[in-house]
Amino acid sequence: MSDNILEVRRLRTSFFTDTGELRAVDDMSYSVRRGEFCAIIGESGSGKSVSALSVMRLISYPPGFIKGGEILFDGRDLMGVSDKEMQAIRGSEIAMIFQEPGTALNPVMTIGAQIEENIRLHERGVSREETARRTAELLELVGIPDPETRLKDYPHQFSGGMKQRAMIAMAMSCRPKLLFADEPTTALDVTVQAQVLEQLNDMRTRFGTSLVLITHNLGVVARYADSVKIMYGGRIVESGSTDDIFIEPAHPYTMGLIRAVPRLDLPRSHGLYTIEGEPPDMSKTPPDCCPFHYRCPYADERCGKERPRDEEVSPGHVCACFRRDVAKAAWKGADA
Amino acid sequence: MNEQTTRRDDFLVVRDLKVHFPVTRGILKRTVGYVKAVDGVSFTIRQGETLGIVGESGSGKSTVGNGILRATPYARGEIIFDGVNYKDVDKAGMRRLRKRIQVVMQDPYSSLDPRMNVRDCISEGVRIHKTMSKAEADARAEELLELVGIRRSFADRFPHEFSGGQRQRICIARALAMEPEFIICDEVVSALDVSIQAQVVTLLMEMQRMFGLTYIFIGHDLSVVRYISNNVAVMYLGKFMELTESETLYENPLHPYTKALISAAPIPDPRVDRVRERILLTGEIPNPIDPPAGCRFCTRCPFASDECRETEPAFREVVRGHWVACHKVAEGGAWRG
Repeated sequence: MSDNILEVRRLRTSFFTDTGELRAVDDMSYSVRRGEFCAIIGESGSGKSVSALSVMRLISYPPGFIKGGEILFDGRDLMGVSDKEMQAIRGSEIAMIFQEPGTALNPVMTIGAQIEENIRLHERGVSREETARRTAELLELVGIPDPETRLKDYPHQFSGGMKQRAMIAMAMSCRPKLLFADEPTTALDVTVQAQVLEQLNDMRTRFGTSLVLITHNLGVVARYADSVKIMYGGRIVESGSTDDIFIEPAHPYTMGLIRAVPRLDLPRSHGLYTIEGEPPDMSKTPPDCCPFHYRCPYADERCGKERPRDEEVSPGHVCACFRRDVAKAAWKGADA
Repeated sequence: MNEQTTRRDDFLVVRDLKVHFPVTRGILKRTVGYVKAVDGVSFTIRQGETLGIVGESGSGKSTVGNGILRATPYARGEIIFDGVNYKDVDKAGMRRLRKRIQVVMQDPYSSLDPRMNVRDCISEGVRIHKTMSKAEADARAEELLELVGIRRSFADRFPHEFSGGQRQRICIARALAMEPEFIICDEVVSALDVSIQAQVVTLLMEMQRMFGLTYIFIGHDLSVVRYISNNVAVMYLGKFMELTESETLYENPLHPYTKALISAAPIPDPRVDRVRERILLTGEIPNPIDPPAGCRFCTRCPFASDECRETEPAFREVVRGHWVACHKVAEGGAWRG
């Protein structure tokens, strides 16, 4: 058995629109170890959600299309399995939690029925009583008080935080091996965010699930993640252990993201940092360049003409940037 | 307005503002209760300064803004804007007053008309209030667009052609078009990526300096709110829990709820974040139709005692300029535990 539950190799997903091909995921490779808490960080439009949807094979054609690559899940190539097999895998072996719990839940079904549906669909021969018992147990595990009563409630009777907990319960109902959580806390209040993250992490350790958390806020993963991948313009521009990324960032974009998180633990004079400009329009960005060069303070001529290759900074810490040395010197200078 | 040399200390005075929405039932719309969204808040804002209001969803922070805008018929209490008491103005006077107060809202996707190009979006208010001609208004709109960092040549484009951050800039330009003196910023960065949030906050601060604007900045993330605010109020279930100068609030928070908010804010440094002490609140904000007896925060407060569950603590000034509503905080700010 391989150490990795998921291996994505050279994944390319595009959307074909009126304005041309939009390369949402452009040659992305990564792996997730069994039981790992892995974070994928990127701005809106960086391709982070599309990369997860591609693994789930939830890209609808047209306009989307997985152009190439391999997705090895637990040793199986998901690109080769039939739609029917994929349906069986989705929800039972790989599950996903979305940003907006309000729209992801069916408003005309009770919370309990929705969780039970998932169990019944994926596990034949489980009795009605057993399903109901497991559902209540799951709701209790995610911290919903009085679960037997609450599972008869409809989604509108739940608050945002509780809906997200119900989503976690549903995702965990078949004890998946891999869970994608796409911005699960972005729509929630700060205090509830902390609770939901704690819950997710707790469920991960309890069920031995590997977790891929997708977010735009680097700050939220510092405490929990084992490894971090930074996405920009459809690619992973830097990846490494959490300490590598936060303490020894190598890519100028990563440095910008770290500095952009407003710090409550530092005096206000520390100032607010902003990454100037906007994320690139991937239908207009040529493939042979560093997608960050438009906004990078260290970019030179080469960055606009050639695509930087992945280079190992230290064991397990990979970065794709031509101007690494200059950026690093500036980072160290600012730190001191 | 930027030539003004003397700044009013009491530019906006709010006394005991209450917004109670009636809950009705049946075909006769019998009132069966009230959602006490705002239940008695008082504050004063100095001209050219920013009051931050922090709280979770359901705390009533946006309703405070709506009360000041007179966007709700259920507001009670006293509001005095630049020396003018709302009570003393008639409908026409209110219209004139409201021109001086603008709002920028949370969702830049739904607050711009998708069928209007951004030039029209920005100049719509001016056209309605008929303060200048169409040509003047258009020229002004383009000027403002440039001021907020969007190219003039984009004035013919439609909202969907812009990113979230750019749309929020357009909303700011639209608010500025009325040449207001006071802007209510309601969760203006919450829908944006962290990397873009700072751009919008910085823009608002620049505009404040340039035009001598006064702000109320509403948000749920203390780490953003404190950057732009002179004073910050922490709100919970319709009431202020704590109010003080922005840096004092984070250096020396007195209310347990404020402490919990601070400890929940993420820190992008695993060395700090893994070891720091966190107060994880249990549960969520209670239903404002039926707030808990005693202190409103007692159901989630890790330090709540019988006293807290029985009597509501007064919102009092324990140190000069530092107001707090908590039984456990003694005069002078010491913790009584």
